[in-house]
Amino acid sequence: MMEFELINTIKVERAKRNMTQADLAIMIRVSRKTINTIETGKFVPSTITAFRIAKAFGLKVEEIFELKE
Amino acid sequence: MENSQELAEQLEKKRLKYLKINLIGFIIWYPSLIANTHDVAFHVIGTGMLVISNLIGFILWAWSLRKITSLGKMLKSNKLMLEILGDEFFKENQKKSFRMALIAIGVSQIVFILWTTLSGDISGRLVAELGILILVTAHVGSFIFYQGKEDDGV
Repeated sequence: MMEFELINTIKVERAKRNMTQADLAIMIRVSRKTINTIETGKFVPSTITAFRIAKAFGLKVEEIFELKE
Repeated sequence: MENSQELAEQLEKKRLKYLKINLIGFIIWYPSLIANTHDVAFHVIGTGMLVISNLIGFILWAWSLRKITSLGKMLKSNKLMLEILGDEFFKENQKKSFRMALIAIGVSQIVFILWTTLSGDISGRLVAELGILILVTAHVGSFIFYQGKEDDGV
């Protein structure tokens, strides 16, 4: 069975905008810990949260998240 | 924005603190209640100690339960905090801790069945009470573990 990993560019996008995890967390109404676990790949977000994160950055969801084999 | 997140983190810390106290209280109170009911351990720790641990445990458990309830009531009036503290990471940890509780109760029931088969010296009521102890401890304990994991966030 193939193993997939969801990678993301949240940290990079945050850095570009000089945004903290706490700032992003409030924007999408989740805890900072949630953002931290998503960013580090420990927690796979729901589709809704993934879209909210992308919207907060003004990007498409596929520009933030990518599925790697 | 920073203030809201700071408030959320403070409330989260409070929630975890009260849950820890609640679990400690329960772990002190409930086993002494079981021992009291079943006349066991009297010769080991004595009636006085049992009554004291029963009382201290119950006070800790009841006080922290009241604090958790009032925290919940407070959150109801703050929609943003309610959303943040009940986000999907929290819900995922709830599910994980529920799974842990089910595993713990399943394993304990197998142990009790083996125990009954081999020695036959355990009542149904005691099994049920020990089951409650294991279920609550595993559920709350694992939730505190998952939710309380430190991160290196900024």
